[in-house]
Amino acid sequence: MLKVRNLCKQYPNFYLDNISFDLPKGYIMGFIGMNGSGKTTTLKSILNIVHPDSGNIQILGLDNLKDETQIKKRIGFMLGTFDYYPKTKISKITAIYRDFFDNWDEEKYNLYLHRFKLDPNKKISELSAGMRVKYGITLALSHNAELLILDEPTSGLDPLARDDLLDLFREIIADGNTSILFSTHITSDLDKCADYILMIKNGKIIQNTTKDELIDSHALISGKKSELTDEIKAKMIALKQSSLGFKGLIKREFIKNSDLVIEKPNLEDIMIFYNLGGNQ
Amino acid sequence: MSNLTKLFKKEWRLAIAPSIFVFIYALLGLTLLAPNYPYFVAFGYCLIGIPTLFSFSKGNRDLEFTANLPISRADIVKSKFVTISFIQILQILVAIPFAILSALLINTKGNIIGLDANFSLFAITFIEFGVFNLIFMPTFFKTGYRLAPATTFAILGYLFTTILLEIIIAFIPALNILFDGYSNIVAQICLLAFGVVFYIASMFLSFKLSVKNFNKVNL
Repeated sequence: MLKVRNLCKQYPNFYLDNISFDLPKGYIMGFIGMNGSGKTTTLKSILNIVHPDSGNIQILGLDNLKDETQIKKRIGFMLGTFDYYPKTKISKITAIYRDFFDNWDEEKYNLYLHRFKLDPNKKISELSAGMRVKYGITLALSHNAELLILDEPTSGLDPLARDDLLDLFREIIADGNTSILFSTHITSDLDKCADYILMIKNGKIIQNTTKDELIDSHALISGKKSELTDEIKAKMIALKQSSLGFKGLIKREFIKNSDLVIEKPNLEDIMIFYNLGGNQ
Repeated sequence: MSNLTKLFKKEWRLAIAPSIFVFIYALLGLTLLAPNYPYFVAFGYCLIGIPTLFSFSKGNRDLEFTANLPISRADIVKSKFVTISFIQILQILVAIPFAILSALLINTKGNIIGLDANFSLFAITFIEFGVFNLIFMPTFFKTGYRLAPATTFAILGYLFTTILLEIIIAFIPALNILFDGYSNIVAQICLLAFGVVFYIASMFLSFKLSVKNFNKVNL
């Protein structure tokens, strides 16, 4: 469905370093990383909106450069909120946008307008940030796309709308033919609906696996200060210390029989400890 | 509907808004009716109008929106070229009846400031438009958003060409006899043909350079 190999892009103060991953058909991949870690640059490079220095990208079995227009007809994407033509009505923008898609599905479009409570007579500037995201998603969803690439689609949404959107993602992939790649820095989005997790830090992929495997292969350990030996310290991904004790993330394979408290981490723990730096 | 037709429709419905401005610029061809007036000015307004229209597009993040559509970057650039040549040719077409009226009724004894409203005026207008496009478009498409350098250099290029051509025709007697006034129609039509060919060639070159530049831009 989506195959990215050795994607590199140099900016004066940032380097996207050899990004490679695969997204199979029928799954949701959550692309997670802190602000400025390279999520948007990666997504824009996949879509040829930013030109990478090197790398090879295949979307739906097609080359992302050679077959760009054909690919863009068959995928849906949204980069940030919809903030184009602020003084123009939704209905007028859609009337132009739909002409470019042979596979435009008007029925689906109206369904999403209704689901997201979007008024077609409103101007873009009259929409809240969350509503602009919803309009962008509506456009991306209304031409029966086989792959959806969405940059922070849940940002700006209230908890109810976010929950509804994540439910919708599961509904979309239920047919087994559609995949979704979406970036976020909100880990609860991924808890709810991601099958795969792609984690990026400073332009480098640091985790690329299924959600369950990622959680199962890590553990949170904590204990008293006196229990923190150099051996444990060296094996930890990162740790936080206080006067009372310590808490840190470790790969399960490194845990030996010990008296330390071992807990199952959640995605937020994993993301935070990986981004604290240390031994990963 | 071809991609270009769809994009042209998008230009008028979304990017250039309100599009009535284009027709107001075109009406500045009316200045050809002013007695003893530097007529090249009539066409200069249109060239100042083009960066203004691009500035509307920029405010609407039009290029970023268009990059989301399933079309090539060359088509995006082409649609902008179609739009500006539509504006320029409209300007010229609207000016033709006023030029005829000017020749028949207003400046029958000749315009004492610069060229008469004759074929030569339209010829040098095509050349000026060509120079403007050759500078403005590739410079703008280097970034897709910076208008100041593109506008400044293109307007300077236009002014330089205009002043040069007007001076050459005004001060070289042999050329003045050929191209000013209304007597040497054949020579003037030849100059007009040259102007049209220059305009087409400059558009072609400008388009190639603009696509080359825009293909490198990270939006």
